[in-house]
Order: sequence, then C-alpha cells, then structure tokens
Amino acid sequence: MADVAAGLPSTAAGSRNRIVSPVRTLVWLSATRCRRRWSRIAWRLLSPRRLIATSLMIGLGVAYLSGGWVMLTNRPAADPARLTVWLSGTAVLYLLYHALKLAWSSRASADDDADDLRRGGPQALWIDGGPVTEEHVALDGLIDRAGAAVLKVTLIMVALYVDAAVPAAMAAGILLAMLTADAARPAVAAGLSALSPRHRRWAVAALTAVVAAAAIDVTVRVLGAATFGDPPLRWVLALFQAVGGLTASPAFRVLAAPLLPAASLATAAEFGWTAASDAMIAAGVLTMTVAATGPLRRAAGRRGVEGERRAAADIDAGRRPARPSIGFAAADDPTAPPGAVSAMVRRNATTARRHAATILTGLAVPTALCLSPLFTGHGGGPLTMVLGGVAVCTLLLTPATLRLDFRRDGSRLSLLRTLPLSPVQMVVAQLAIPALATWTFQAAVLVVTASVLPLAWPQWIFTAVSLAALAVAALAIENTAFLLFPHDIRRQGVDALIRTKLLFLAKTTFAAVAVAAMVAWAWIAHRVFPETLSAVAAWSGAGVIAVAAALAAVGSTTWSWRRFDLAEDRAAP
Amino acid sequence: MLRVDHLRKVYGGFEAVADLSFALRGGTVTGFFGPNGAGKTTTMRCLAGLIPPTAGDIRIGGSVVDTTSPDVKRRVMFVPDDPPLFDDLTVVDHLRLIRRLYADPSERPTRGQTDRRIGAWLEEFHLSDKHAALGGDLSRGMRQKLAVAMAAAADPDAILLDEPLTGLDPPSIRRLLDRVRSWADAGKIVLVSSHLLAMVRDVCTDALFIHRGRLRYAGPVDRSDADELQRRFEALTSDG
Repeated sequence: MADVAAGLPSTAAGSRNRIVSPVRTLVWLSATRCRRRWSRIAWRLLSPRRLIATSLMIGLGVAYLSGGWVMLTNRPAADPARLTVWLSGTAVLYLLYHALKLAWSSRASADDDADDLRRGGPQALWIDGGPVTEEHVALDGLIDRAGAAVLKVTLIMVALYVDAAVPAAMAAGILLAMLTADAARPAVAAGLSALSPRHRRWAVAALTAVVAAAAIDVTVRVLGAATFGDPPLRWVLALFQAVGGLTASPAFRVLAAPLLPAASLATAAEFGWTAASDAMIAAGVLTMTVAATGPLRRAAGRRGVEGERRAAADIDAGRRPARPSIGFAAADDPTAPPGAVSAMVRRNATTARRHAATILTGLAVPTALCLSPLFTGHGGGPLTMVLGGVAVCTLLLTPATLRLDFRRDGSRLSLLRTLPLSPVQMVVAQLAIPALATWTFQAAVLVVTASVLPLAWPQWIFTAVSLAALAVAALAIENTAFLLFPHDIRRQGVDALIRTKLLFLAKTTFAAVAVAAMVAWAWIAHRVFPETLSAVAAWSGAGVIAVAAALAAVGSTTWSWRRFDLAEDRAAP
Repeated sequence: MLRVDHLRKVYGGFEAVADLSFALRGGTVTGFFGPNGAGKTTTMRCLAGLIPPTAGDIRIGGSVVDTTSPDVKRRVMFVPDDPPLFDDLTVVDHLRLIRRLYADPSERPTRGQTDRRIGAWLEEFHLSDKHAALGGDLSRGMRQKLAVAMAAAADPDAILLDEPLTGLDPPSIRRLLDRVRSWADAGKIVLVSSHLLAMVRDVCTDALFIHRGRLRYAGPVDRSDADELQRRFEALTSDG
C-alpha cells in the first residue's frame, strides 16, 4: 500500500473519533478548505510566473493599508449613541437593498452564475444531498462567508478604531451584526420563495413601498439641509446626515431592533455585564436567524413542488406539451455576420440581453448619481462633479456590473482557448460588450450635461474620448488581473475582498499616471507650439495619450491571455 | 428494498419523468438504460433525495425518501456523471469529509482506524499516488474514481451510479465493476445507468429500460444472451 500518511491530518495518540456532529464537520470542512486555499494562494503569489504581478499587489496593499490608517485614525471620535444607531441602521439598509433585489429577481437571475447565494456543485451534492438538515445547510453557507466577514471587520476596525472604547467588543459587535445580516439574506430568499404567487406580489409591493419611503425620507432631509447653490461637498454631507437621520427615525429603529444588541456591544464603554448580555443576545439573534432558515427552506421546497404540480395538471389537461421542443433561433439567424470575433461578441450580447434588467438597474443608479450635481445649482462646480462622477463610476461601478468578459468565463477558459481567435481578437471580442455598455452610460450623462452646461466642442470631444478610453482601460485592467490570478467570481471570500481593494488602487493609479501624462503634455504644448496651435495640440495630444493608455491596458490583457496556461492558471480555487 | 410508485417529475414545464413504478431489491445490480434525455438522471436524483418528486412515492426500507430527511439520505448515495468535487480539498479530505458526514452513530472508530480505511479505499481505487492532489487538479477519470470511492466510504444501503464508466481506463472499469459486484454481494441495492451496455451486462442481474420518462421494460437480464440488452435498446429507440 502506498504511503498516504503525508496527506492525512496528524493523529493524536489514543484520541477517539467521537461521533462527529454535522456542525463540527461543517466547521472542519470550512477550516480545511480555507487552509488549502491559502496554501494555494501563497503558492501562486510566490510563483516566479507572477513575480511582477505579486510585487505590484504587495506594493498596492501596503499603500492602501498605510494610507487608510493615517487618514482614518486622525479624526475625532464619534458619539457612541449615534454610532450605535448608525451601525444597526446601515445593516438594515444592507438587508433592505438585498431583500428588494431578491424580490424583483426572476428565477432565472436567482440561478445566475454570479449569485453568491447559489450553492456550488460540490456543496449541493455532498453537503445538501448528504445526511444533514436544512438548518445545517444554512449554517454551512454562513460558515463559508465567515472568513470574509472577519477580514471585513478587520478593515472596518482600522476606520473605527478611534471610536472604540473597547476594541475587542467593537470587533465582536460588528462581526455579529455582519454575520446576522449575512444569515438573514438566505432566510429572506427562502421566505420569498415560500410565498404563493399572490402573497409574493404583496411582499414585493410592501418591500418596494418601504424602500421608496426611505428614499423619499432621505431626499426630503437632503433638500432640507442643503439649498441650491451650496457647494457639492455640502450636498454630500447632507446626504450622509440624511441617511443618519433615517436610521435614527422611530420606524427604522423598530426594523433595526434585532441588530441593536450587536451595535450596543460594538460601542460599549466597558466590557461589563451590559456588554456581556448584549453579546449573548446578539449571538442568540444570529442563532435564531440561522435556525429560521431551515423551516423557510423546507417551505420554499414545498412551494416549488406545488408549482410543479400545477404544471403537471396543465400537461394532463392538454394546456401545454409534456416535452416542448427547444428552438435554436439564434443559431439560425441569417443576418448574423460570419467570423469568430462576431460570434463571440454576439454570444456576449445574448448574455447581456438576458441580464438586461440587472445591467440597466446597475447603470441607472450611477447615471442618476453623476447627473445629480447638475440640479444642485452650484456655479462652476457641477461640471467637475459630473465628469469626476462618470470617471469614478467608470473605474469602480461599471466593471463590477458588467462582468460579461473573461471573468464570467472562469469555468470555460479551456473552451475559449480552443476557439480560432488570436489573443488580440479574443480580448477585443470579450471586452466589446461591457465597453459598449459603459460608453452608453457615459454618453447618456454627457449628452444631458452638454444640454445644460456650455463647453467648447474640443473639450467635449476630448472628454468623451478620455472617458471612453478610461472605460476600456478599467475593463482591461480587471481582466488582466483575472487572467493573472483566475478565481471564481461568485466567491465572496477574503481573497475577493483583497482583490477588490487592490484593483481599485491599481485602476486609480493607472488613471492618475495617465492624467499626469496629459497635464505634462499640455504644459509642453503651451511652450513648444505657437499660441494659435497650442490649444488644439494640447487637447488632441491629451486625447492620444488617453487612447494610448487604453491600448496599453488592452495590450496587457492580450499578453495575459497569450501567456495563460491551462495547467498553471486554472480558475480555482 | 427501494420501491418507487408512480414517480413523476416536471421541471419548468418539461415532464422529465412521466410515470415510473419499480422496485429494487438488496443484493441485486440493476442496469438503468434509455436514450439521452429519457429521464434516467432525474429519476436517480429523486431516488437520492436530491430533488423532490412532483408526484409519486419513493421508499427505502419502508421510509419515505425526501429531500429533508437526513436519516433517509444517509441510506442512499448518488454518484453523478462528471461528479463535482471541492477544488480546494485533497483526495484524502474528500474521503474524510464523507466519513465524518455519514459516520454510523453505532461505530466509534479511532482516528487511526479511519486513516487505515481511507488508505484501503485509496489503494482499491488506485488513488494513492494522488492522495494529496486537490479536487480541481484531478483528471476526469480520477474524479470519477474518487466519487465512487466516496460512495464506498459512505457505506449506504443503496448506491446509484450515473454513467460511472465514463472517463475510466480499462483496468479501472474492471475494478469498478468488481466493486459493484461486491456491493451486491454485501446485500446492497445498486442501480447503474450506462450507455456502455456490453460492459455493464456482466454485472447486471436486472434491467430497467425507460424512454421519454416512462418505463418500457423491467425484469431480469439473461446473461446467456450476449445481445439481449442491445436488442432491447434498439427496439426502444426505433419505436419513437
């Protein structure tokens, strides 16, 4: 027999393998997976193939943490009572957002690859299909997300350290609140699925009404705190105050009541009996949330069977065929242009159409946010705010909303590799649809802005070209990072959190370098060219720099795809 | 005994299984045959308690199989075609997970005993060289072998194998079929779905043929007739 001892955990002499409860098994499973994953990540980071990427990551990580620490620890401490309300209230806002999203999601989008509540194949087969209860399944989902929650708490503690009288209590309180909110999401999802179609419509209407009321409340508070003509910063502060006011309102405090013990623990002045009882109550709320998910999942399962029985009755009554044929309309489209690139673009466009509602919602919010400065009535600031907003959304929000590129194909990269496209063609095909969607968002904002604010046409052209180039660069950087460090985009783990922060820093650094190059060129143009030509030279040169920066980013993605190795760069774990 | 009465499953308006009734006895190996899309995998997933039937009744040893009963699910193990594995668990971790999940409460093995049993499964399924490999690094055949080894580790009353021979090399196929025989010899219920009729014929005592979600044949396999399964399959698919 081969020696397998090296792969087996150490055996304590004389120890008995007690009848292990599913809870202990699930904890063991999560700890083992976490250990193996970190070993894999460490191996990847130390791989010579990724030396440059790893060095950049470490540099960016150090810059992010040290910068955050310096900025966030030099501010006065917040009032503990207000912080308590804020902590519990923001958790409720988080839950309301997800509840509304779930309520409006169709079944198709709930099963989407990017849905982080969906159970993966191995979990669904070996855990959910194994001898465990629905409560254990809910607990497993929570344990799976606990690691990410711990790291998030660590990062939040950097920001809130100056407010903490007892840092350990604050960390424990925030962690309990975060875990409770995370545990409530699958409970809400199961609860909505357990409702009859009629009751579900009522639930959607009620949730929409609550969120609409909250939005109206915030709007009224913002309009009461800032007036037209105030500087944009005043409006931002008014928005924060309005959200604070909303979370402190009596109705909201009722909604936040289950989370108040965790928030009170976080702001405890000392760790005495009160804090201890808050900790126990908060832990109890978390346990009850997980326990409630089990019956809700069972009820959702029964509701699903009821739907199947209605469909079966329709089949029996001849109202629908038992085995409807499946059409292939897309493949038969005679208008489809030939060529592998267009085929890939069309395939991504089909996916985009299928998720059109999610994409439109994801882009509508940044559009509204970007245009909002136009309606504050402030003199010279709105244009800067609008363009700054578009740039920030292009860098941060749209790449996350439009993951219709290599990131979506994490499990199909080997298939993509076999397609008859050169690396450049593949990258262009993959980035085309998300880039087009981002350009549409940018164009919508710019057209509205141009109709309100006067600006010379060379400036508008330069702005449009620069923002379009920024969109391509942001998507290309995301994809370059993905191909260098492939991962499952559904994962909400610790590594996902670190990746998001580092990518943010990488993209802003890239943009800052490009802007610095444009400014330098403008300075040079004003000194080198005659006065009649200097403005045109400055704008056109800056535009060329923006496009060149975008092409460089696309080049990096092409290089990443060319060097991608199916054996080395598997998109897991 | 695993008894199925008037099983029906409808998903999203598609009737995958129309009406199936049959019984599987302990100590038998039943071949489960039918063309692609006949409803074999859906039936097996219902039998394993992974998905609820739309209508009908499934019982093992008199207990109703449902998606929420841990005690009943402990008694049935389903190994799908191309089984999903945890990318971040090693081969040994997978076997240890199954031992922990499916541990018989009456057993109290020491850690050493468990390790020896895991070693024996690794040896039996020729996985010893890969014991420290992560699930995501295994080939298709290795994944299949590990999943069958996990079924062995679970030690259930009924084992449902969906296309278990896909991706296996000839010696691995022989070992798997030996294992199937030994399960039946130990009194377990074994249901094997496969399109490789000639390969599974030697181990099957009974056969179920289904087409478009309906049972077309249930009965013993005549081992003296080498072409029986092939003829039945062709008759099944030729009548539309």
